[in-house]
Amino acid sequence: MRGGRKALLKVIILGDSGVGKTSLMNQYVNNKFSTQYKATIGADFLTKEVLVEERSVTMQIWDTAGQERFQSLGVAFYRGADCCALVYDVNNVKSFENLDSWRDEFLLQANPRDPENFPFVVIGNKVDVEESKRQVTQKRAMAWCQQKGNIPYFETSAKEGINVEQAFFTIAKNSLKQEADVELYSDFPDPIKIDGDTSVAKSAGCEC
Amino acid sequence: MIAERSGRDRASGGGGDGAGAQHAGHPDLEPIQYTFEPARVELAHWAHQMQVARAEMAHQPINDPDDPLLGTFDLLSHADVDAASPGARGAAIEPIRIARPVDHARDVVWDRTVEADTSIGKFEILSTDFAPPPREIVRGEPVSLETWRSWFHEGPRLPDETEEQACTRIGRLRVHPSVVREAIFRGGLENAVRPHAWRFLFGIFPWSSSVAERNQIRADRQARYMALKRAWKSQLQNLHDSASLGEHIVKDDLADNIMRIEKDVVRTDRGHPFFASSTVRQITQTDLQRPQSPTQAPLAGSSAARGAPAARTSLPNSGGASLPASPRSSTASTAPFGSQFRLTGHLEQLRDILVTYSTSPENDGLGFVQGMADLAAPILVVMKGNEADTYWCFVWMMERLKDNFRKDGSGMRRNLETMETMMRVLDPGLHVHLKVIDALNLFCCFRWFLVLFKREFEFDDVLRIWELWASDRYTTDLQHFIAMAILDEHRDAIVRHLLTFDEVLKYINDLSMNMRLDRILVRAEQLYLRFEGIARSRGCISDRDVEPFEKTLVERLDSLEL
Repeated sequence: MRGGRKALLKVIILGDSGVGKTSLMNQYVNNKFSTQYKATIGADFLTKEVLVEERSVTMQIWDTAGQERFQSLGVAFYRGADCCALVYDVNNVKSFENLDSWRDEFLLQANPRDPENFPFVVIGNKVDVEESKRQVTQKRAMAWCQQKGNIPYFETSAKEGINVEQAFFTIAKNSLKQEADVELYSDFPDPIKIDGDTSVAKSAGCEC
Repeated sequence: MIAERSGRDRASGGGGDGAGAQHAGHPDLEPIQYTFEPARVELAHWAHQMQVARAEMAHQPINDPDDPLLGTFDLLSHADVDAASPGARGAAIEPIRIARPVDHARDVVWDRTVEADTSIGKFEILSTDFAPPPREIVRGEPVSLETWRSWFHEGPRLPDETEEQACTRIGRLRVHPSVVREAIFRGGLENAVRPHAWRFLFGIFPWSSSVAERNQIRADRQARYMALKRAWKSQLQNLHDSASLGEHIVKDDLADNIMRIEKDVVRTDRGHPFFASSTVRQITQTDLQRPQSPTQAPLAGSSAARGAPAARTSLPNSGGASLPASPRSSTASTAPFGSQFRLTGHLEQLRDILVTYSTSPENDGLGFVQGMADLAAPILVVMKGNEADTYWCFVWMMERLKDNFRKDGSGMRRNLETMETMMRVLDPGLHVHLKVIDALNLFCCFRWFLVLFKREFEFDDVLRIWELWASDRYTTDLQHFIAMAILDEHRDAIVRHLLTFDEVLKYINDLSMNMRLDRILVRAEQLYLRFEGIARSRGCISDRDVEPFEKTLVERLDSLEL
């Protein structure tokens, strides 16, 4: 690998159509929310410079079309991903049930070196909608995350900017850890402490 | 970044073009994998703007034709839109004079040694076809109502009717359709002509039809559309609790389609005044527009009834099959089973058109695929809310485009491969560059083809592109030449500055709503003419072939040694 550790973290956002992938990305990168988003066609990405564990890194956040129809393009877009954010809408149970297939599809297409330990983050979006419309409980979502290898879980509102920063911070941190792990194989001295998944377990709670 | 760049220049033998194989003359040097660098995208945009500014400043008479930088080696490179042309969006297009070389600094593809790295080894491309300088292209004025009517025999006139009303009763076409096609290709249509002309362009009326035949066709089509629409609506109504599992599954499919269609309908062209008076009211959970307050929810009895079936479908339901709606509540409904929104006005029409299409025989089992709403909405606007005619225009359009929507991606892949072949012929330098940086899959053009540039240009420009595309002057695949024209317009920025697939994708995506259509249309036509010229010079087409050639053109070129 050229020039030591790369400072670019590639993050893929996946999930059903309309769960708020574009909104989350825009809220995180531009601190903006619009009700006028269009359905994403193909793929696009935004980048953001962030400071993680005293390192400045560029996060490259890929926003993809939510319809499974476009997944034949996946390979090109998923390749080299450092982290994958699986997004669902807490008010739409189907979008939650589809997380399994999004995760499988990603692992199949991205074909990461160590699929067992590839960092995912699960985001339940649209918690600003009134409670009575909620279809997926936090408990249910967290159980799923636990079962899939302790995936960190966040509940967010891209609209209100709730918890978005925290979710992406964890994404950045875990991506970096993934980077570090990969580089251990290539005999790079690694100053970044790789601890157990305690931070992951802590972040799994949601304050809202 | 600078280190990377200089390293690269060294590796490519100092070729500032950057299109050469990376390790020309350095066989031991490993190819370098670059990582995405946002600054390079910025730089490329800036460089392109500078290039345009420079070109526009250079008001000078036609250069010496003997200038070795010009003419024979020329892709289209030195041609530029006359800076004096206003090019205002939506305004009448002034004739644009082209072929005045203005930009000497622009890289010329052909005057450098370019290496092509092929599966059987590296080749130096010494020369490509010697093409004449790009032909002078003159864009025309949009076709007016008056001109449009002059092409047809006078129909029965009623007293005091407007030009536009008279257009609905015009007689047979009295000129050759190619005259009409050429004029539309040359300048597009004025807004007032569009509803009339699009019914011909988009396949509802044959060019040869009489007014009586057209009336008959419209009546037939209207009836057929209504029947298709009634079919899926009643499918939703007729299912009772005793319905078989099979019926539930069919219905679930339909409900699923409706749900996905509505998700996109409520976020398609909502900024356009045409859709401004249409309303969206959520009847279940998903919140795209505004959260419904509890007091707002069960207002009138009718809206409560409308809300009821949908609310039931979206309850957590681990069994998969949704409960059928009660017949009573769904009969009165404008929000069918599966709906999340209660739509009114043109949004409801758009929803119904797309649902009808997703269940129609013409749909070929595609169902609803994202992007379809982007294609249907502008037609509905042009048709001023005539649902049946919009539907049939849309069906005609989808017949040409639906392969792009296939699940296995085969249609889109073919499209992109065609683009690649064309690029190999028209701009080998760009082709090699994209190959070296692993961007030759041309996914950067994916959105262009899927929604026919809908997301790349302002609404009125999109209408213009579509009518030119449907005019079938020269080719039925104008989109490939428009795509090549956009790439050509930006090829220097791409070749000089962009070093990864991601950078190209980002650069291209950033062009959205930031391109000048007039320049691109001129280039597209020049590229077509050049492509045809090359094909002729290589014997790919002969005088025996008749237009349009493009179907066989790409195939034949592909089979020839390039």
